[in-house]
Amino acid sequence: MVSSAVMESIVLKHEIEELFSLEAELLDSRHFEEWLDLFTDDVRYWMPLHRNVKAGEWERERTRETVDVSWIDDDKLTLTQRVKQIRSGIHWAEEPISRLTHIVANIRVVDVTDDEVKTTSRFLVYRNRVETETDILVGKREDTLRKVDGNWMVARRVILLDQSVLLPKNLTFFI
Amino acid sequence: MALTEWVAVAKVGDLADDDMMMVTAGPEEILLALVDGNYYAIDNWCTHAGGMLDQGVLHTDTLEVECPIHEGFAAGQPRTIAVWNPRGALKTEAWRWYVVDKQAPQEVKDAILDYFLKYAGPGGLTEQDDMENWNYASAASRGTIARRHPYNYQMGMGFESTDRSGPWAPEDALFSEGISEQNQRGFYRRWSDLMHAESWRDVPQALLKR
Repeated sequence: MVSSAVMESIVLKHEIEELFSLEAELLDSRHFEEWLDLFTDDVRYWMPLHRNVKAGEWERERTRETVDVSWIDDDKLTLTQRVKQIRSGIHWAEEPISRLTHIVANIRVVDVTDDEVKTTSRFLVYRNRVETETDILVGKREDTLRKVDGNWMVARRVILLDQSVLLPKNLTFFI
Repeated sequence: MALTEWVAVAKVGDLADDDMMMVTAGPEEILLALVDGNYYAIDNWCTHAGGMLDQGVLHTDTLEVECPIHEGFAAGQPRTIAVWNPRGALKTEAWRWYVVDKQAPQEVKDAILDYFLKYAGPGGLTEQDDMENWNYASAASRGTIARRHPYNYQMGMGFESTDRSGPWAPEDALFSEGISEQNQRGFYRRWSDLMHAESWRDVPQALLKR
């Protein structure tokens, strides 16, 4: 007999897996407007840089939120503008558009409060464009999810790409 | 997303003459303007750098809307320095600095940082497309037709000055303001010096002011 607490955590994990799978499906099938609907209006979508630091200074490895530079630091408005830019037909870095596959794995629930859960996961994003342009991005994601009207939404996303020098030539796609 | 039916976005009287406002029609944000009794509608989003046009300036005489980011350019902000370093015939390495006044209030510094992140670099809405052009222009220059023509590095030629604005500048340095290919000319001139010298002893001393 499984305890109700265990059942609850299994259901929660299932709901989160469903959300991340749906999100990947929407991105990979280019349903960007529907993808935007998975984010709260106050979302922060942030991707810091990584430095190479010596032993004992690992806390300096990532650039700091709001203080330092970052690869991406978007609110809902900017995410929406990026989607509109892709749809414009004159966004040359995505015209023709990239072929993308998102894989999200190792999902863990690390904190649960009244209406929010904090999760960690790993991502693998494969991108191929025009003739031979190919990028493989691997890293960690820290997502804070909030239940709004019965549905989980992303209220905060931290993307930790395992690269110091950015190897893809641009970040015209979402992670 | 194309709209296939009529949508009421505002009432006559909502908008004063010579004024503009942002309205939404489904997922679209539209800029509505009223000039001399005529209504005009365009996308509220500036395709250049993603500025929201309803926060810009309506020029009723020319029927133009000036993007709020363009207003910033006129005020001398933001400021960046870019150097394009030749790395052989088919490669260019770009260096970029973003300039923020040390004395500026934190709010201004935050705004400028936010602007640079959203405008420039691999995540920047505008420079993503610039980079695409630069990449493919380099690739296209290997083509049959492009190879028939020498590269042109004349930009800014004859407009250099010797005015020194700070003690950091070398004695005989030349300065270019705005956009120039002075750096490329200097690079290839020196490269030519090195290639044409019979020995290291014959290499002319590097002179900046040439």
